[in-house]
Amino acid sequence: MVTSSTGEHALSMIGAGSHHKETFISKYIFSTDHKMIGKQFLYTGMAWAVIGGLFSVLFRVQLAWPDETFPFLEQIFSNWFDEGHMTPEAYYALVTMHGTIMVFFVLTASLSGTFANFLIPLQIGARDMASPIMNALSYWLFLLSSLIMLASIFLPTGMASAGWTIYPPLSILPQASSGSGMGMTLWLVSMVFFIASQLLAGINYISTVLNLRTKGMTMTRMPLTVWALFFTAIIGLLSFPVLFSAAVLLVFDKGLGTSFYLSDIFIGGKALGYSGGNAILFQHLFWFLGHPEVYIVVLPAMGIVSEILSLSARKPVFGYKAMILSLLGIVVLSFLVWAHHMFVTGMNPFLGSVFALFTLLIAVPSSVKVFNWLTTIWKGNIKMTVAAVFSLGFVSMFISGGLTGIWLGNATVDIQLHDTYFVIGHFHLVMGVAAFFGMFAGIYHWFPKMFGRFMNETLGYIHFFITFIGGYLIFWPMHYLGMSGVPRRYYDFNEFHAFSEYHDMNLLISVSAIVVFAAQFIFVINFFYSMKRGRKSTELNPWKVNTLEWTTPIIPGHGNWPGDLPTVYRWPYDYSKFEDGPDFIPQTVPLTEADIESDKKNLH
Amino acid sequence: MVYPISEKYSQQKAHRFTMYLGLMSITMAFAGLTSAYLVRKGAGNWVDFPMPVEFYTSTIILLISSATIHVAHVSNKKGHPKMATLGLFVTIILGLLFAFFQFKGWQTLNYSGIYIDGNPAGSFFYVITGMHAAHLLGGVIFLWIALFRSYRLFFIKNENTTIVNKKGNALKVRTDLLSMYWHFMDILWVYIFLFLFFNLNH
Repeated sequence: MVTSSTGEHALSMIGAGSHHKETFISKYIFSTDHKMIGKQFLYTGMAWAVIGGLFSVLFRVQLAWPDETFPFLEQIFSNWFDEGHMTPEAYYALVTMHGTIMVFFVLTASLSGTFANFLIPLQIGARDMASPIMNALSYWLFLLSSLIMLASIFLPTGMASAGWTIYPPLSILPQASSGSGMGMTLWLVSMVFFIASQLLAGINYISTVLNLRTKGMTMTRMPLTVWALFFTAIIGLLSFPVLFSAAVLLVFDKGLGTSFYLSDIFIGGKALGYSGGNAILFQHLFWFLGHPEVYIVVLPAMGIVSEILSLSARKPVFGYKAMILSLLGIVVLSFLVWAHHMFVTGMNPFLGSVFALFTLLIAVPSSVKVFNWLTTIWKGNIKMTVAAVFSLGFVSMFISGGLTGIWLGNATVDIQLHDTYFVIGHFHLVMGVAAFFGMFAGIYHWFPKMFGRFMNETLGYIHFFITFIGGYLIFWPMHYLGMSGVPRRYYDFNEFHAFSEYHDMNLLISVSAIVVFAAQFIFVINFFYSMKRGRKSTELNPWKVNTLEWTTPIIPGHGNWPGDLPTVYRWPYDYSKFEDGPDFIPQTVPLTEADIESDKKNLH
Repeated sequence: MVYPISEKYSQQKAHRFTMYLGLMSITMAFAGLTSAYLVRKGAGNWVDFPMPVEFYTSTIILLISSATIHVAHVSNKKGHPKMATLGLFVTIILGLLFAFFQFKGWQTLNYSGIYIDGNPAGSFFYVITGMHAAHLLGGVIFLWIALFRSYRLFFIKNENTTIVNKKGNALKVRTDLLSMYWHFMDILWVYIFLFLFFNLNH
C-alpha cells in the first residue's frame, strides 16, 4: 500500500535482480518470479488433485460394493471405516471434501494460478506481474489455506461434511453432523485465507493485463488465453468478496450465536437459541459466488483450448472478436443466473422464469465459442500433439456436458432432476473433466517453456485415451441414473428397492473411476520424469507459435527477456496467412505491404 | 542489466490501478452484506432501534480525517515534509478516535439490550460496522508505516533536504495509495451510515 519507491527498490522489482546470487530458498521457495509462482501453484494443485481423486475413488468403492468389507482400507483410513465398512459420516465428509478440493483448490486456484501467473507476463511482454510481492503473498496464503484444509482431514471428529455448498443449518450445528464441529470451523478458516489469496491474485492479473502490455500489444492483439484469464480474474474479483461476506456471517452464526441463517430449531424437543434467521439467504449469497465460480473454472480452459486449437490446425482462430465478446457475454450473464441452483426453494415462479431465461441465454455465447472452435479446426492442416487431442477432448466434453445444461436451466425440468445424478453428470462433464482437459492441454503444451524439456508423447496419448473414454464411462451413465430419479449424496442404494436395480451401472461407474484415477499417475510419472530426463528442447519455438512467450530464451530468467522488451506488430493468429509464405508469422515481425493488403481484404 | 526508466513508471501506474481493483473487491463484500440486510429485513421479524448517538460523532471525525490526509498528501507532493508528517499523525489520531467512538456506540447498543446474538437487525448492525472498522484499522497500520518513514527520512537523517540515493533518485514517501484508501474508507462509512440510518428509522 505504501511503498517508498526508491530507485533501487523499483529497479529490483522490474527484474534487474538477475545479477545477485540466488540460493535454493530464494529461487524455489520465497520466489517473487511469476514463473516460479505459477509452478508452485501447479505442484500444490497436483497434490490436491491426487487427494481429491483418491476421495472420489473411496466413495465410489462404497457405492459399488456397499455390502463388502474392506479390512485393508480400514487399516489405512482407520478413522473412516468401522468393521470394514465406510461409515455414513465418512461418506458425507469424503463427498464434501472431494467437491471442495476439486472446485476450489484444483480448478480455481491451481488452474488460473498456474496459467495466469505463467502466461500473462510472458504473453503480453511484461517483466513480471504488476506487484510481484502481492503475487507471492497470494501463493503463500493459498498454501496456508491448503495446510489448514489438510489438517482438517486428520481431525478425529472428522472433516467438514455438509456438502461443498455448506448449506446451513447442517453446516452450523455440530449436533447435525460430527463434521460440522471442528471440521467445518477449519473449513471456514481455510476458505477465508483462500478468498484473500484469490483476490490478491486476481487484482494482480487484471492490473498486469491493463497496465504492463508491451509496445504495440493493444488489447485486440492479445492471445485468447490472456483474454480468458483476464475475464476469469474479473469474475473472481466481483464474486469472491460476496462469498467472504457470506462466510463471515456463517462464522458469526457458528461462533457467536447470531441468527443470520438459522431460525427456530428444535433438537430432541428442545429449542435452540436461534430465531429469525433465513437459511435461503445463505443459498442466495453462496450461489452469487457459486455460479460465477463455474465460469472461473472453465474460462481459463477455454482460453488455452482456443490457442492450442488454432496453432494445431495452423489456421487463425475463427472469429477472434466473437470469441472475446462471447467471453464478455458469459462474464455478464454469469452474475444473473445464480438462482437456477435454487428452483426448488419455493421461489416466486415469475422470478424462476426470469432466472431460467438468463440461464438459457448463456447457451448463446457458449455455442458461439463451440462453433468457433469447430470452424477453427475445419479444413485445418491439423498437427496432432498431446495438447491438441486434449483440446479436442475439451470441446467434446464441453458439448456433451453443455447440452444437458439447457435441460437443467429450465425450471420445470430442473424440479424433476434437482439433486439427482443427472446434475452430477452434467457439471462433471462441462466443468470438471472439461476443465481438467484444458489444464492437461496447457501443461503438455507449455511444458517446454516451463522446464526446457518435452513430455513423453506416447505416455501422453495413453493418458488421454484412458481419461477420455473413462470420463465418458463414468459420467454418461449418471444421466440415465438421474433421469430415473436416483438422488445424489446417498450412502447406500441397496437399501432402496427402487434404486438397487441400478447396481450394475454403479459398478461400471466405480470401476471406470478407479481406472481413470490410476491412469492419472501415468501423467504424474510422465510429468516428473520428463522434468528431469525428458527430451531436451533445443529450439526457441518448438511448436512454431506466434505468441511472445516463445521469443524468450528456452528457460527465461527473472525479467523474461534479456534485453529490451519485444515490440508487437500484429495479432497472434497469423498462421498460414500467405499461400507461398511462411507457415506462421510471430507477433514481433513488422507488417509488410502484403500484410496490409491481405488485412484489408479479410478483416478479422 | 538495467532496464529503461519508462518500465518503472508503468509499474507505478499499475500500483495505483491495483488499488482501485482492491477497493472494488471491498465494495463487493459490503454490497453483499447490505443486500443480505435488505433481503433479511424484507422477511419480517425485525426489531427497530435508534442509531447510537456516538455514531454521529464518529462520522464527523472520519470526515475531518479525510481532510487531514488530503493535506498530508498534498504537502508531501509539494515537498513540505513537516506538514505531511503532521497531517499523517493527526489522521492516525482521528482514525483511532473514530474506532473508539464506534466501540462506545456498540457499548451503548449493548446497554440498551441490542445484542450481537439477538435479533438479526442488531447482528447485521454489529457485523457491518465491525467489518468497516476492521478495514479502517488496517489502514491505520499503513498510516503508521508512512508516518514512521516520513519521520525517519525528514527529521532524523537530514532535515528539510531531499535525500538522494546512489542511483540519483530522490527518496520519497508515497502517500497517493494511502490517501486513496483512506478517502474510500470515509465514503464507505458515509454509505453504511446513511444505509443504516434510513433503514433504522423507517
